[in-house]
Amino acid sequence: MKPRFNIISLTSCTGCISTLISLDIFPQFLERIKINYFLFILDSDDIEECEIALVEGCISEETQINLIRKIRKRAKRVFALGTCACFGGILSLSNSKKAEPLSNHIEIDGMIPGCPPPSKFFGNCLINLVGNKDIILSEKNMCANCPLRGSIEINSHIKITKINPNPEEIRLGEENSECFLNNGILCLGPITRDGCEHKCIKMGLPCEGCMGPVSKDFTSNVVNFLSLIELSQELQKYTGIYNRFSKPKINR
Amino acid sequence: MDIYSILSHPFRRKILFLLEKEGYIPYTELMEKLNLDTTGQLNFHLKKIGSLIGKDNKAYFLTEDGKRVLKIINLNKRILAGEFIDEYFDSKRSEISRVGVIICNCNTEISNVINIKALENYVNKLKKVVSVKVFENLCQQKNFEKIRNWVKDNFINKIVIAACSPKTHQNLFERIFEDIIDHTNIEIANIREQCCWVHQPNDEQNNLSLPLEKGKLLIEAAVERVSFQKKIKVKRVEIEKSCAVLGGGIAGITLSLNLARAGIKVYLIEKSPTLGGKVARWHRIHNMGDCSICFISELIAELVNEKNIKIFTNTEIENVTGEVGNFTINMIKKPRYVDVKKCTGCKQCISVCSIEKPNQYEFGLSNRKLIYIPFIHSYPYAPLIDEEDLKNCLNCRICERACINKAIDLDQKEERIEIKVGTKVIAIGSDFYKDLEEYNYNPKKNIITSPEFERLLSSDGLTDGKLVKISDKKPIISISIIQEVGPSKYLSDFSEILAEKYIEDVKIRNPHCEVNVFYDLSRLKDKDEILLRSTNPKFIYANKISIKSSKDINYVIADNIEFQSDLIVLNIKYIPNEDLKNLRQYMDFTLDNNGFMSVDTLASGIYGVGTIFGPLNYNSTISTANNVALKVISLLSKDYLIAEFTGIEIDENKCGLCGLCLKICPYNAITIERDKISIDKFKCKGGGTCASICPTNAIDLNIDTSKKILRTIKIFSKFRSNPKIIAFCCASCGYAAADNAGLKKISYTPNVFIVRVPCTGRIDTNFIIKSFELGFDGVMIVGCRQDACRYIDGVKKIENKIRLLKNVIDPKYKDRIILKHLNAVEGNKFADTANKLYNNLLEEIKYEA
Repeated sequence: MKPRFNIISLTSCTGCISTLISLDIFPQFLERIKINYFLFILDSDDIEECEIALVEGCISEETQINLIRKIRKRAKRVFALGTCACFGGILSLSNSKKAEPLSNHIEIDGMIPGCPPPSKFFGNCLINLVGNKDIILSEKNMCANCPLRGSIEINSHIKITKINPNPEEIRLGEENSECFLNNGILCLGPITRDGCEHKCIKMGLPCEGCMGPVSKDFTSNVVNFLSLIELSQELQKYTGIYNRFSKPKINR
Repeated sequence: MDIYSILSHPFRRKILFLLEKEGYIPYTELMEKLNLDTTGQLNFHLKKIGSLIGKDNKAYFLTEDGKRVLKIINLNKRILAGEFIDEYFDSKRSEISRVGVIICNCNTEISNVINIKALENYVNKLKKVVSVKVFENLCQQKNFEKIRNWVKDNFINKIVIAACSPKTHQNLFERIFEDIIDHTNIEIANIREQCCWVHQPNDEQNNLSLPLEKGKLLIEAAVERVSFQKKIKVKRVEIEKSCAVLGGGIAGITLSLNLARAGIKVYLIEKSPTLGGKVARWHRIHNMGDCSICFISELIAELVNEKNIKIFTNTEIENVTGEVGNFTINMIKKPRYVDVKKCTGCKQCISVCSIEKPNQYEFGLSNRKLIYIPFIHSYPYAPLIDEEDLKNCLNCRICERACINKAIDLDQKEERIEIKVGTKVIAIGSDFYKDLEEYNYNPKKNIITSPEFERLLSSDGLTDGKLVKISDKKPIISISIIQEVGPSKYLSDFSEILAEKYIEDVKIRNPHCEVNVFYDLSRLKDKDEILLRSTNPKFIYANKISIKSSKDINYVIADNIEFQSDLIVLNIKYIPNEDLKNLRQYMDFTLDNNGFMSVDTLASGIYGVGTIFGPLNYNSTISTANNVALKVISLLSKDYLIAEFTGIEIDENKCGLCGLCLKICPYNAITIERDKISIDKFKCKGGGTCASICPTNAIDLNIDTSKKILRTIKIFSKFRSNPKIIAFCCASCGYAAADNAGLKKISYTPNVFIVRVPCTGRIDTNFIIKSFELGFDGVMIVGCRQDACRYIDGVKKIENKIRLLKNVIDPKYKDRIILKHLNAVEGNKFADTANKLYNNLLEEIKYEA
């Protein structure tokens, strides 16, 4: 029997769903599964029982809590799809809106992080899901396979002055050869999970951390990381770094 | 029934194998594992193998006989398989946790506050606990045998002792269980200092159920922690039977002599070109007839004759690595430019040298040549040129020609020396207070310091021991001595006897000379103390002392009364040695409030002696030197130590080689070379700052693991009463301060839970966030004072984290994270902080509700 899938969007940009639809293997994926609920391609009245639920987007309204509880009840396994569902996502930058990851309210069986998830990784995840296997996430951080990683010196001092390189200074691929941190540009690679194939870095932009933390939570990793480096005056006031993809769980 | 018939049935063998694999299996689980539906069959077989298995109230396990039988079966199997058997299974190396809990009543100190019976029942119900035992007084010798038997009978391999602070009896407990339980598997739940002594019942408010509940949670957390402890590799360290003594002053010399006579090889390392230290330049020691230099010379003579002592002068420490029993010290012997072996001490070279500079050994009162002998009783007695003076040297090389023995070698280079020692003693002494501007200090105008006065009195000094003015060499008829010149935070131990000695010395030289001794009370912090201590009618206690000079005459003005003085002596205090800060990079110790070395925090294998701990008089210095000598001898009398590495472990499967740990480690113990991370176990001190920032959790401490700490927080969060406060305390200062509050029985709210971390730098931001998430309302972080951190700058690191964290969190939480710097005796401040935070939170919670 084909595994039944429920694919649901909460508060999100639907970027993850778009990525899903545009995956090379999407047609084959559709052949091997049975879609129960996927409003983008199919009209459905209610969320029915299924083997696997993929949930995209964060929880920003009370009603959504009941919704995901219902999803959890009717699915054998629930997976968070995309950074919003895994950690809270970009909406965390908002002052007024709530942006909670699924795991705050229900138990999840795994996650597919990324904003949106990189296609190769996403594809592998889907293959695993169809085969009733777990999703394998790297346990290392981005530096492990970073094309810019050079030798590391003891006592090297990092001073950060910029969040992004100036547009005219962006170097692509081969031209770019030095670690962003050494050039005073904040790169969250050290605290971000490996697995995205370093797309941003290859395009001359520092890592923003969308793959989420490997261990602990996003906020404490950022605080730990920044406590080691010197920030320029203006950046010290910029709190967006801490909330980029996740709000601190400190508020009860 | 013989053993072969018992084992003939495959079912019984299966039971035995299962028990061997799992250790302890409850009846129902056994049934499940064997796929049985009825109890009859299992009961039958269990009965048959009755002699090989035992049963306690919860599970089945193998008896000693059973283990032996299984060993034979397994060995047979391996031999049949053609394997070469070279090692045997060690039954002590069990991976299963069998946690036992001992509750010590501490002679009713515990039961006065909490109901021990209730505590025992609660602990007994904990899933991980095998057995609980209550003792009236655990530390009594008569109980030791009982405990050991209890441990053996219950197959306990991990133990929680709910009693006093680990600072009190941890060593004792480790010794009791030395050969049956690894000491990392001994966890102490501090229910005395952290619970009973600080939550004493009083009439007004205290709810007695809270201390009981706190006690329960303290024990439960300790049980959890110890059950997470993994095996730590131990190693045998052969003890190098030698000792390095840093500093060749009176303390270093006495100690070296003591050690050498006990047959220990001693390396005496002195930074300056001569032995003798400060005392060598004193005129005379109080209550001793002999002049101090004669005394020192005698000691040096003995020292030089001692075969076991090797003396390095003009030598500085470059680096120290290793651990107790086996340190490696790298030193640099600075060039002396004179070959001591060839030199006869004829001083020809000195007489021909044409450049003069102030002599630092006479405190700049007189001049010396560029090539010089520090003082006449120097050892080694040979001239030298200071390395930094070489640039002022005219390079005329006349001295070279003047030396008939060709002892002078201006091209001498510094020499690197490496020694191996078992232990080391720091005896570098302290410095003199220098900031004397407000006293109009000027030796040329007869306002001098006490060391300079010593040189004046000394027969080999500036005035050949005559009492004359420095300015015009006229006799002195009035002297004023101003006491306690220096930082007002502490008192000099010996300023009074020094003043008395000066009076004596002056009266010998000139009976008519007037000597006044002044105390400036406005500069003394503990006025009462000095007034109580001192009953000396010869001294003048004034509220304000100032010095005025007009027309070459100096006056001391004490509360508006003028005292004309030919000579004013500033009796200066000792201040911490500047080299202490450098030494901290390679030796573990912290500084106390006044900047001296803190005696409690010295790591094992390192000792200190003399005035590095603060002002100390001559007699006390000698007696501490003797004391330390005994400690060193007893340590070095063993042939080996069993040492275990307590520090970090790196999981290479998780490490992304980002190098953040390299940036935070104060000892540079971690290196990444060719995509491989490695740790220098000799350099790692186990502070855990690297573990706190590792983004992938690849680094963790092997004892204070993150898992243990997070679990402890989780268990403490079960406490019912609100608001709850969690206090992360560093092991050397914060935890000791909390203990101190207990010792002083300063009551504070039971809603504070103390988590011990090796250093505040170990605290991960995640711990703080997690605490709030789990329902704590306040977080207290108690660390050492600035500059006093045992791990050099751990307090700085947590400060950075907290500053950044406060950027992120809701403003109302900003006041709920408190960072406090305390030292080990400030228990009252600990209690104050806890109570204040508690009361604030109480208000806020009321307001919110």
